[in-house]
Amino acid sequence: MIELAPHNPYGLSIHIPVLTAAGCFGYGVEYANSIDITRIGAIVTRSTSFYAQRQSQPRLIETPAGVLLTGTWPNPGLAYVLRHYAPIWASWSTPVIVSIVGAGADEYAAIAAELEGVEGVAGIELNVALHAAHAAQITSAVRAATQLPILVKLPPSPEAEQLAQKVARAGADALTLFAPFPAATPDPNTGALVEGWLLGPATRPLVQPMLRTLAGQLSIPIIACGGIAQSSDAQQALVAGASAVQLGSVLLNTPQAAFQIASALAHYQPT
Amino acid sequence: MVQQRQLIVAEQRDVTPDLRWLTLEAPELTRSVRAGQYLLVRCAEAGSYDPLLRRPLFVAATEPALGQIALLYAPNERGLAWLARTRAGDTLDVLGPCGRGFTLEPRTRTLLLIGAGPGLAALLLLARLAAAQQVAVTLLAGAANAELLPPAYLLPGEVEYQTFVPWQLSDFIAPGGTAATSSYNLPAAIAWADQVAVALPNAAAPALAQLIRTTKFRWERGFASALLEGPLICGVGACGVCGIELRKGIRMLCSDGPVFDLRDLP
Repeated sequence: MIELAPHNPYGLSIHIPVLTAAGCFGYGVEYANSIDITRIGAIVTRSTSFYAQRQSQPRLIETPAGVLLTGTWPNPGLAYVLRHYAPIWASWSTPVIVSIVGAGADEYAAIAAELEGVEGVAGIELNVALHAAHAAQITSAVRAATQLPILVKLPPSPEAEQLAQKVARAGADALTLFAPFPAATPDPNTGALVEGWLLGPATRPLVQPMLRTLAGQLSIPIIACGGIAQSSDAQQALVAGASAVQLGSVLLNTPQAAFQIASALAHYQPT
Repeated sequence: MVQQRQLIVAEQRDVTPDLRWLTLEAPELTRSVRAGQYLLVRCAEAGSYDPLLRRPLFVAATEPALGQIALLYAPNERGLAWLARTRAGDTLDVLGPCGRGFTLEPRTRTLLLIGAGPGLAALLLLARLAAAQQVAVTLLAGAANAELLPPAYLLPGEVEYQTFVPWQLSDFIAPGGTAATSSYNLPAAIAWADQVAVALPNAAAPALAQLIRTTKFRWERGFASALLEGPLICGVGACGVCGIELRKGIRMLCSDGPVFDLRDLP
């Protein structure tokens, strides 16, 4: 077993070092009939806010070996998720980590407080892509609101090392490195430059050196995320110092990659 | 259930200079797939993720006796251009069938189909299935040029097939949902039909709905359904990019649709 929250009273043990990344595997229930989710280490859900977010439809614009995601994170809201999905998660052996997003520290904390004690919720991942500068403050607020294991997904930036240290001190149990890269690409319909977040295998060479640099400097587990599409990519991330990996955009192409890569790593032993 | 399948290419050929007809060995799908359902086809070499996203293609024909299905597509971008280069004997990585398709109502004896664009492939299958049940079918198909229209030989001989080139929505329906006077008598066709199925740009839906309201004394659920356009990425509603606002609230185009009852559209 791999412990992703060794200092947390609840702990967050996974049997395979492969998780699904937020936004690319829904709430897990969408795939429950087609994929053996018991063969995945853990599922990180779509980012969920306190209230339903429906006003901004995201877009995926294809780029070389990747996609640019524009817009925010539509979701049905926390109450819907707890009512409809949490009872299903409670029947699974695979841990479910709820990705949460808010307008500020107070909303993050309020969501975390609602998740505390919910059967089927094994942990929380903070999506701070829009609030990177306040990531430590948000982590602190969430830590005060819940004892659940907290993963913080940080955006890649030159300040990532400092930010990671601050977030770890603020109470994060583990870090997900990294969120998609801020990027821009021409809109295929209009030609106008569109800003968003780049994800996909194209980002993996960018993530790899940053991951290696940070892994030796942090005292909490790291979960590698960014462009991992094959078991060899995952192994390289683990060798670089990650405790586990998250699979994101590859699942948009092949959701079965979740257990295919997990199966390949089932007997992986860190050296 | 959206399954990953490895399907062997039986044949691929041009049916017009702009359209390819791809036949796949898929005995499991021939009897289960419904018109309006689609396959997510991986369009990259094994081990490559460029392009990253699968291409959604509607099933255009099923041949249960041969254990084959067929897809119709225009290879007009890099993913489908890659697909167009595959040959008989190649294996394709496919997810599906995905989504909810058209339902041919048991009472239907006359069926009106109207389509343009990629959704026309779905209407071909619906026309075939309906004709096999002795339903009288009329298909109105439009395209920017004749090379984008399926050839008539892809349809059963008893299907009435009318084409419109170049095609514009206003040829059928005037703004506000009144009948266009300069072209086809669409109100008469709607009055003739027991059921209407369309695959048109989404912008056509409100005008078509209004035209049906003014043509039919009684518009029952199931009478008219529309295959909507939009991104079909994951096929199960997981990625969240295809949410669409209907009268009943947000629905996922890829899994709750892409076919919806026209009465449910806003």
